Amino acid sequence: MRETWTWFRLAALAVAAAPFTLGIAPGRAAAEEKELVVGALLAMTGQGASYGKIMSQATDLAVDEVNRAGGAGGYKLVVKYEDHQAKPDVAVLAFNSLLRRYSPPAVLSSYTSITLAVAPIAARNNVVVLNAGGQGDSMAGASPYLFNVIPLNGLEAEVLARYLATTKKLPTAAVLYANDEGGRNASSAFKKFYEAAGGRVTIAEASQLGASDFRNQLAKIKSTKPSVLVLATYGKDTAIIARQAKELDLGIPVAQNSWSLLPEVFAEPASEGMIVTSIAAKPSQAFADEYQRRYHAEVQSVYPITFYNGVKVIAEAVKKVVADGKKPTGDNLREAILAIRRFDGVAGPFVFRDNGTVAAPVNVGVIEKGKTKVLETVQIEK
Amino acid sequence: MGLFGQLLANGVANGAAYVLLALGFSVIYNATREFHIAHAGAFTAAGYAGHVVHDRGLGLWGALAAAVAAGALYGFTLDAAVYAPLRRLRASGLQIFVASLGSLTIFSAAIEIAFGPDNLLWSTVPSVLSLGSVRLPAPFAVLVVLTAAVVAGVHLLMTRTVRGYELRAVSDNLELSRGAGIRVPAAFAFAYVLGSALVAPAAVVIGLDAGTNPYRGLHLSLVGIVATLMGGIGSYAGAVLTALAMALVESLGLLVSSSEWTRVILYGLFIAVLMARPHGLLGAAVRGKGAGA
Repeated sequence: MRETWTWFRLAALAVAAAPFTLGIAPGRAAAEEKELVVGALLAMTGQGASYGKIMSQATDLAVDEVNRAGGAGGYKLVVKYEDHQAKPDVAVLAFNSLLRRYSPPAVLSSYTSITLAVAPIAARNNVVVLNAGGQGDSMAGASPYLFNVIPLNGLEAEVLARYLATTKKLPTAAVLYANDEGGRNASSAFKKFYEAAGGRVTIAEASQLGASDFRNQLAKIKSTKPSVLVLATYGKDTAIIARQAKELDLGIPVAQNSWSLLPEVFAEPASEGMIVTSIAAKPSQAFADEYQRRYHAEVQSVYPITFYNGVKVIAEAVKKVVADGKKPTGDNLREAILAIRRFDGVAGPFVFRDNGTVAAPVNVGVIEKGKTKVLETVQIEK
Repeated sequence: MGLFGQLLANGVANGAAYVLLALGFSVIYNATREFHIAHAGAFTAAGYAGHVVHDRGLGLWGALAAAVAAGALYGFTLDAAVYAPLRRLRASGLQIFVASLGSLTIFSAAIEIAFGPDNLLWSTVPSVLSLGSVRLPAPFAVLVVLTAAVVAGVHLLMTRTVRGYELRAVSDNLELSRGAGIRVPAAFAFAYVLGSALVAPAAVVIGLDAGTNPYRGLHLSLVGIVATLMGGIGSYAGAVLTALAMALVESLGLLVSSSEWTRVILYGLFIAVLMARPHGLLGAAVRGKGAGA
């Protein structure tokens, strides 16, 4: 009996060892297709889920494209998502989870408050953060490892303020802003530029992200008799605010930056006529067609472009690092991004400045029949 | 007068919703002494049921009926599947609270998987009532009337029916209630069904006004919980009046401060009241820890 067992064990060992002796070991197959995990910290659930959906779609599209073309420097990119729910405290836990589980050298992020919350952790762990969805000006130069693929608030705020005060000759504005870092920043940036352009802000009121009722703030705003209502709120809230402003018969134009460019806002009849700014980034036809084919949606906002570009920045940096004979660590990727600086994005080239920001022209438009109609494009040089 | 009138109207309209959330939580908490944070899920369940029925063309009243049924079913299911088994295992209040939190998380995630995370706008845009310069969506006017009727109905239930006597009895003294032959598990189940169904009108009107999503119930439920504790444990009138007062402070507070400060003022008041009157504004002595039905 014992002899039978011995033979059985030997046979089992031989079967287990066969792939290795024949040169088809699983480890060797994996080594031939090296993988590089990239993190993506997005609002996949909660009040910001609409943004997370668009951002993750563009990220997937870009990653698939990179991998179809042979990967980045021989590495197959794999994106691992974590959900920050638009909450900085959740974001920190999610970011640490990404680091612990996958040790990614680079992470895509969205939202100002989220990006600022994780930036110090990223710097301590030598991880590059590519912000492609938050626009708070405080992110300029906030961390040596932070690169903002999306232009920050200041650009749009300046263009919107000048347009309202000078072109439309609207002398007074009221601001309703989301009570978070991004909202406060957008509000103060608008106020600065609007007053510089000769306008006066009658009142700035805060709102809670995800609230259902904004009538109290709108009533108070109405009592100050502004000539325009400027929103610094996020998608779902913007749609509800537009509806409630109409219900309260504010009777003044409503204006907002590119945060308003979401399906919920386009679908809301009360958004008709809203003045909006957006980053003037027209995607290539091939990208727009592929996006339409995969997701049955038009590229209506800047986020598909910035997240696609974010992935391309990582891929280009990895290629350079590998070509230089180095490993794709966070430090090496950071050095590569700073060395390359100028990247060919899906909507044209962009250049990272020393403070980790990019510039772009800004469109001023109006929402008409569920779409943005561009009225003018403004280039601000700084 | 224009701004004051509008803020007053907003406060009363929001107050009606707060009252229903507070009254629902109060009915459950007073009877069971279980910190039912998953009360937010009743609002969500009622809102989605109302949305589905409304957008199939069955109108506001059809939506309301569906929402009441969904809220009641939610409360019954949670009690039967989670709380009752835990009580039988003599779980502590903290354990029940954690189970409640877990249940809410699971339920919200399930709703999100089933319906998606987006805010679902209802197919009807509500009409607006005008009184001078004051404007209010018509469904909120209906909500104010409905809430008054619900509060009166709950008062009658508590003071004129056997079920109501039982709820008040278990709220006052659990052991004596058992001794008097009251079936405490059934009374608890009834509290969960009733308390959860009460949120339905608020879920329907807020859904009609601003859409339905998986997350909105939590803030409103927290308001309901605070109103119950600040109003006084065991006091339905305290919960109702405090919920209304909270909404009025939120809205009329804007006359003297910015909206950034209204919540600070509100929760500051809450802490001050608890420090001055631990039993709440209209509350009597607390029954004691742990339901243990």
